[in-house]
Amino acid sequence: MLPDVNRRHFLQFAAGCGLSFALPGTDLRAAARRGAERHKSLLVIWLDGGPSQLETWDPHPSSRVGGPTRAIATAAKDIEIAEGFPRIAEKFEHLSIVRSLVSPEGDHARGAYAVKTGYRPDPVLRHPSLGAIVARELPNPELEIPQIISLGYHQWPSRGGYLGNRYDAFQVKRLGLTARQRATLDAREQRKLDNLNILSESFARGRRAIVADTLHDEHVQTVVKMLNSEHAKAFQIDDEPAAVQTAYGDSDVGRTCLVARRLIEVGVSVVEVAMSGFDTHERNFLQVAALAAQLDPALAALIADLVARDLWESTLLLCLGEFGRTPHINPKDGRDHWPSGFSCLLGGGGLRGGTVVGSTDPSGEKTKPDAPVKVADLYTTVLSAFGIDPEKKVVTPIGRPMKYSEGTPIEALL
Amino acid sequence: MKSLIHAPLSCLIGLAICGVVSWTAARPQALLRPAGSPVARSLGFSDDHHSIVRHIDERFESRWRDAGLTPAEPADEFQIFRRLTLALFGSIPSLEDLREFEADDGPDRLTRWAVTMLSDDRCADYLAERLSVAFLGDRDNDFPGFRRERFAAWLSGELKQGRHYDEIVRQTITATGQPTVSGPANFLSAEIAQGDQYATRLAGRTARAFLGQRIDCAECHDHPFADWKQADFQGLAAYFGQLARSNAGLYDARGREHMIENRKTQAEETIAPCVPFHPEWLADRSPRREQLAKWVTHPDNRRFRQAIANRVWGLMFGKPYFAPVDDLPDPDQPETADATKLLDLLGDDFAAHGFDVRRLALVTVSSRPFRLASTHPQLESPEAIGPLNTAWAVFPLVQLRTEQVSRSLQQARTVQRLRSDDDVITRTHRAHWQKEFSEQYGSLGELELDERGGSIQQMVERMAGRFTNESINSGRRGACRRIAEAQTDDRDCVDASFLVCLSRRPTQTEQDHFLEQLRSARRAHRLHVVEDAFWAMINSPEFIWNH
Repeated sequence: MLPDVNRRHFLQFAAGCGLSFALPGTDLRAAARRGAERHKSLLVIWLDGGPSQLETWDPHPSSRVGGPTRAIATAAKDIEIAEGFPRIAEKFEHLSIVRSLVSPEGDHARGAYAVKTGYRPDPVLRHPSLGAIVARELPNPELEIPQIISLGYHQWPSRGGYLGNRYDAFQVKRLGLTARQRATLDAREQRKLDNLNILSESFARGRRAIVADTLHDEHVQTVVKMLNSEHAKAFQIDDEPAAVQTAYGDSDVGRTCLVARRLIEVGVSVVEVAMSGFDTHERNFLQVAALAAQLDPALAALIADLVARDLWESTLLLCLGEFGRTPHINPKDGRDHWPSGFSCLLGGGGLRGGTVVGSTDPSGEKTKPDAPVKVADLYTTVLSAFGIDPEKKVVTPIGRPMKYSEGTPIEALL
Repeated sequence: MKSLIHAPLSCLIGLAICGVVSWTAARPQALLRPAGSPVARSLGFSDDHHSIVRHIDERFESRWRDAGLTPAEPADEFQIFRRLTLALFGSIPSLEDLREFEADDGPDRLTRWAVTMLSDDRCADYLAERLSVAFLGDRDNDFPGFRRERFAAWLSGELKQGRHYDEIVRQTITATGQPTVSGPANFLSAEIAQGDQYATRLAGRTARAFLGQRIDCAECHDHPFADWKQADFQGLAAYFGQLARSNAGLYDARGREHMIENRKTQAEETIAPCVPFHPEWLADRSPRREQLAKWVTHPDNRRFRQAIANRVWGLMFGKPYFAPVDDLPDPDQPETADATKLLDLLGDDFAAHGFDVRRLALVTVSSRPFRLASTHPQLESPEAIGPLNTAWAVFPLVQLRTEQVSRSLQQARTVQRLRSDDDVITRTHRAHWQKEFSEQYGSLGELELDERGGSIQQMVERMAGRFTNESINSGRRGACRRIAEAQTDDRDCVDASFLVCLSRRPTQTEQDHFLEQLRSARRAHRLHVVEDAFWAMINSPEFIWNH
C-alpha cells in the first residue's frame, strides 16, 4: 500500500523541480460529497473463471440440475439465492438479479472480452470495456489518481480499446505493490526530475509540435502528482478501525473490497475488484462454498458501507464473470462453461432493487433462458442509468463509427 | 535422493557455463573508454541492392518535389544505428556495438552493419517472433494443442536458412500432424484451440496475414468499402472446412463439407470453396488447403507480395507504409493502385531475390526515408506534421513496442551486447523477465503496428516500477556500477552513460549538467548520481520513442 506521503517535502521539491506544472492543493471536497451531488462511480466485482449461477444467484434446489446447493430467503420478497451468501441476502432491498444473461462466447478469453465490452472479439478492432466508456464520459476532474482502477490479479482488466490507452485501467495486482513502486521515487526525486527535464528539452528541439502530441510530459506530471497525492491514501487500509477490517473479512477479497470503498469515496470513476477461482470444472460445490465464505462478508460489508455513507445511489454495482456454468454436473462433480443463461448481481446507481429479470430452466433441458438478456442490453441499461447515451457513436481509429452499446434497456431495472 | 544429487550438479554445470561465457566475452572495462582500432566484421549475406534502393529513393524524391516539401536532413549515423538494432533485434544497441561501429572506418559502414545484423541469428529470431504475432495473434499457449514458441522457432529456422517466403506460407496453410512436433501446424491449431468455427477464423487470418486484406468483417455483413461479400468469405472459409484434429494431430477429413447456419432461416447450408478474386489462379484439383496455398502465393498475386512488403516496412519504421497494415486497397483498381506502387517495387524485388525476407528488410532500411532525421524545422508547429509524415519526408516518431522497451531496458543493464548464444540460464532468465514485463506493461498483440500512445500505467511502471529499478540497480556487473566505479575521466563517465541509454553523446548543456553533479558528489554518492542519470534517460521520451 502507498505509505504516508510527506506532503511538505513533496511541495518543496515540486516547486524546485522545474517541471512546468503548478501543483494544486489536494481537493478533499470531492471525498466529502455525498448523495445526489456526488460524482458517479461504477463498481465491478469480477468473478474470474465464470461463477456458477446455480451456486450463487440462481439456485435450483431439489431439481435435476441443482446439486446439493440449498436456497435461502433474502430481504426481498420471493427472491432466493444460494445458501453461501447469507449476509448478501440481507441486503436485497438494494439488489437485483439478472438471471438470463446470454453471451456468444464460451472460452475464457473471448468470453471475458464479450462480457467486458458487450461485443464479440474482433481481430481488427478492440472495443472499450464498459468502464472505459464510463470514465471517458464521466471523468472526475478533481481526482488526482487514475479514473479507472482495477484491483486484484486479473488477466482481463478494463481496457480503453479504440478509445485509447488513456482509458486502460490502472492495475494494482497485489495490494502493497504500490509501496515498492513508490519507494524509488523518493529521496532523490528532485534530481531525477531535473535530469529528465534537461533530456526532454533536448529531445523537443526540432520536433516540438510532434513531441507535444506524445503526451509524455503530461503523463510524467500525472504520475508525479498521483504518487504524492492525498487521494493515494485510499489504497491504504491500515487506519481503518479493526471492527471495519473484521467486517470485510481477513481475505484478499475482503481487503480489496475495503480499498474499493475508499477509492469510491475519493471519487474514482470506475473500480474493478477481481476475485479468481471460479473456473470450477472439478469439485464445484466445495470450491464455490469456500469462495462464498470470503465473498459474502466482503461484498455485504461493502454494500452496507456504501449505503451507510450515502454513496450507494451514486455507485452502480455489477457482480459477474465471463459466463456461468453448465446445469449438468460432470463426473468430477464440476460444472463446465455455460454462456447461455447466467447471472449478474447488480444494484445501486439509481437502479431498482429487489427485482429479478429472466429465469433459467430447473430441469436443465432448455438451452436458452426465458427473457434472455444480452450483455449489450445490460450495458445499455447501465449507461442509461449513468445518463450516458448508449447510442452515442465514436469514430474508431480506422474510421468506423461505433455505438457505445447496441442493446435494449431492461425497463424493469430503470 | 536423485534430485538431491542432481540439483547441485546442475548448479555447478551452470556456474561453469557462466564462467566460460564471461571469460570469452569482450572485456567490459575496456568499453568504458573510446575504442581504438577498427574491428573486422564478416559479411554473410549478399548486398546487391543498390539499384532498387536508388529507384525507391527517386520515387520519394519526386513525390517530395511534387508536394513542395523539403525532406529532413540525413540523420546522425548513431541514430540510424539505433533504429537498425531496434528494428532487427528489438533492442537499443549495446555500448559494445556502438564502440565497434564507431571504430569501423570503412566505406558505407551502415549498410555493412545492416547486412551483418541481418545475418545474425538474433535477427531471424526476432523477425520470426514478430511475424508469429502477426500470423497467430497474441493468444496464450494451450498445451498440447497450441504452442506459440514452436511456430516461432520453426519460422526462425526457415528464415536462417533463407527459405523462400512463399514456400513458408504454403507450409503454414497446408501443415498437418502434431502441433507439438510440426511448427507450422500451430498456425492452424491456434484457431482450433479456440473452439468451433475455426474455419471462418482461419479464413480471416489467412487473408489478413498473407494478403493484407480484412475480409473477416464479411463474416457478418458485406465489407463497408471493399468489394467483399459474405459469400466470398464463407467460400474462403470452406478451404479450411475439411481441417480436423485427432489424437494423431491435424489432418484433412476428405469428403467433409463446410456447413454454416443461414442467419435468416437458421437452416444448415453447404458452402463450396471459392476465392474472392482471380479464380483463374486456382489450377489443380489437389486437396483444398493446397489449392488455397497455391492461390495465395500465386506469382501474379500482387496482394501477397504487397502484404509482406508493407509488414516489413512497418516493422522497420514502427509504422506500416500503408495503414492499417492489413487492409490494402485493390491493386487492380487504377484509382487506388498508386497508393501501393512502392509496395509493388519492394515486392517485385523481393520475388526476384528468392522471396528472402532479409533482403526485403535490407532494401527497406537502406532507403532514404529510413535514413532521414526525425527532426525538421517545420516540426516546431503542428500544421506541418501531417504532410511531412504522410510523404515520409521525415523519420516518424513512433513509440517503442512493449518487447522493444523490455529488451532495451535489459540492454541498458549492461555495457556488453546481449547474445543469442549466451548460456541457457541467462537466456531463460531474460525470457522470463520479458514475459513478466509484458504482462505488467501490456502489449497490443497483433495490432502492434497500429498507431498508439502510452498509458499512465506504463508511465508509472517506467518511473517507479520494479523493471526500471532492476535495470538500474543491476549489481556489480551492471552498467551503472561499472560506469560509476570506472577509473576514467568524468567526461568519459557521462559519455558512456549516454551511449548506453540513448546511443548518442551528450550535448554541451547536458554534459555540463551531469558533470556538475558528478563533481559535487562525494565518492560514495557517485553511484547514485549515475543511477539518477540512468533513471532520467530511461524515462525520457528519447528512450521510449523510436526517432
